[in-house]
Amino acid sequence: MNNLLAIILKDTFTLAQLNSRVRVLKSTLLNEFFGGSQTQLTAGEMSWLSSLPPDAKSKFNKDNVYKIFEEIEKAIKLLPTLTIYLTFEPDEPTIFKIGSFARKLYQPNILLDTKIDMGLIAGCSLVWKGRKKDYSLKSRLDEKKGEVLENFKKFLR
Amino acid sequence: MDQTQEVGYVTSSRDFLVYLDGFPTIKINDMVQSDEGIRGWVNSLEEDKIEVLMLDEGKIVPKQQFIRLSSRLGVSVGDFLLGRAINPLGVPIDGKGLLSKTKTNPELGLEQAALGIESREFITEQFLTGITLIDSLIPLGKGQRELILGDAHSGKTGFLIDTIINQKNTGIICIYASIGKPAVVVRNLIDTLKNNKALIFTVIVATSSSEPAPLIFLTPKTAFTIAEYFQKKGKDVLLILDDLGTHAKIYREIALLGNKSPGRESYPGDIFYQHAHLLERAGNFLPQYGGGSITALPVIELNLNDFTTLIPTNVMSMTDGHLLFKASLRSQGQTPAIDISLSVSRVGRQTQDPVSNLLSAKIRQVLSAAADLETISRFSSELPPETQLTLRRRDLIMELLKQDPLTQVPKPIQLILLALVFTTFLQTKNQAFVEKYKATIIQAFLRDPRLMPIAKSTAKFQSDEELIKILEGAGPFLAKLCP
Repeated sequence: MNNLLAIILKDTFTLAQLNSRVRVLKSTLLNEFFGGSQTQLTAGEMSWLSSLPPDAKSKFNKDNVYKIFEEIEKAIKLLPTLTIYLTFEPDEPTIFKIGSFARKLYQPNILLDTKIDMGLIAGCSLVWKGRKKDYSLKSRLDEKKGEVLENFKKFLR
Repeated sequence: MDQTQEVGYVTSSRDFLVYLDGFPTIKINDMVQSDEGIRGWVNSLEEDKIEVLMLDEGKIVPKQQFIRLSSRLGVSVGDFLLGRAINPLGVPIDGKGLLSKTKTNPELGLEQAALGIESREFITEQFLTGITLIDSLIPLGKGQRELILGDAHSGKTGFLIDTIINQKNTGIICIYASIGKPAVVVRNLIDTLKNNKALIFTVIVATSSSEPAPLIFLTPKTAFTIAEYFQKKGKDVLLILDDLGTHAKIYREIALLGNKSPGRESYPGDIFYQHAHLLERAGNFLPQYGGGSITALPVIELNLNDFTTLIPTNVMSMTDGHLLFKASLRSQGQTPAIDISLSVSRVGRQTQDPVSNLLSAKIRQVLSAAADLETISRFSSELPPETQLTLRRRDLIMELLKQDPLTQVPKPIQLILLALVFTTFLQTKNQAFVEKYKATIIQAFLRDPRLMPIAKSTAKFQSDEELIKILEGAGPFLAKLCP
């Protein structure tokens, strides 16, 4: 069911967002097929659901819904993920900006996994395939620690 | 500064076993650490995941980040370890403060392949335990591996402590690996060794039963690594692994948790490899490989004296003999409670001097002849005199071989005691006589100016007959001492 995943990925850039969207779609479909109480959806989730093309949902039926989602969840685990450590929680437009930039630069279906690390002070650090590159202010300061301390000492009496 | 660092993320965890994703260039036995300082070591690598065994206890959550430590699984070694008790990672646990190591002390990896045959030497020197029964009948060589088997409360630990204490002033370094024992046992061991002035040449590597299984698993490896350090400096080392049965159980726990298929008694298929890999590190080495020796005494506690289960038979087949301790013998008053007929030493005989060798062969002959006569021994008064003599000699030998804990019998005295059995002086005496006068006889040969020369010259005799002849001459004097 990579088709559906490709459709979702078009405007989904982070792993958290992808997981939550797949969950929303799954619970809506399960509710439609089998009934039960539906959790209250936020306005954002509602609008995203309605933005899906009508044929995206038409392939589901009572018999295949679990199987298809199992396949999607498996496929998500295999997606290339770029972990980004930031000092702030990025809003939707920022994620869109970073995400589309990364997709243009690296791979078309790359996912971002944003994490917050206040210790970085400013800037970010990136993890790609187990390698972490630190582009934060903290790493720069650590690099020039001696120099910075020397300069501070000038002001000490 | 290089800003690139390798990281990994937790994909799943099961108790102390954690699977990580990431670390493109990690190797087995590398150390990793979580952002909260919890350490683990890489046990195996799979195509898509890394299996890590955690050495510290703490909370592990999915997606948690791990970094790679610059140090690999190892321990810092040096003479500063003597007299100290450490855990397998080299952290002192005896409450005596930090180790006084310097930057020049090497850090050795725990996982070392055993040296090959080109580095080994024939075992020619006897390892003296100071215990008559062993040094005469089941002698050990320096570099031998001798399994210590026995029930609980059969006196195994007491024997091991005596052996360590008796190494005083010999230059032998003792290393005691206490594997997953209660903390109080380790405390008692430290105190006993200290009170008997044996701690200064001993290193204790200990893990208590409450510690994480992967840490307990590493205990014998650390002990061997320290032993190898001293061996490479030309020292003779005594290494005690107490006990490998617990070690096997801990490894079984790790393997079952890691989904390895269970084999006999649910132990994993590579349990033989794990123990053989360890014990092969012992031996007697050529001068160009350090020249020292590692004498290994692995211990296994038996259940109901059954030594036919997997682990005892495995370890029996990879050692050069075994000593079987029996709780029943101990309760009969025999200390050390070693079953002579079921114990073997495949290496020690070649290290004995000719007199001891001939004498012990004679003693064995008497013991086996007496065992054959066991069934008719109840008619003792009606038996022919030769048979009566054999049975009486067996009783005398068994009494002479009894030795209280924390006592040492010097090698010459051991020989004299056993040779006395074949003199006319003891021929007519019974077990009660020996029990009463054993200490007097030993003291006489150690201190009396008329008997001391015999004790000093035992090494010069060519055969046991010569020694027995000399002792025959001392008979009348001994008879006066023991009225």
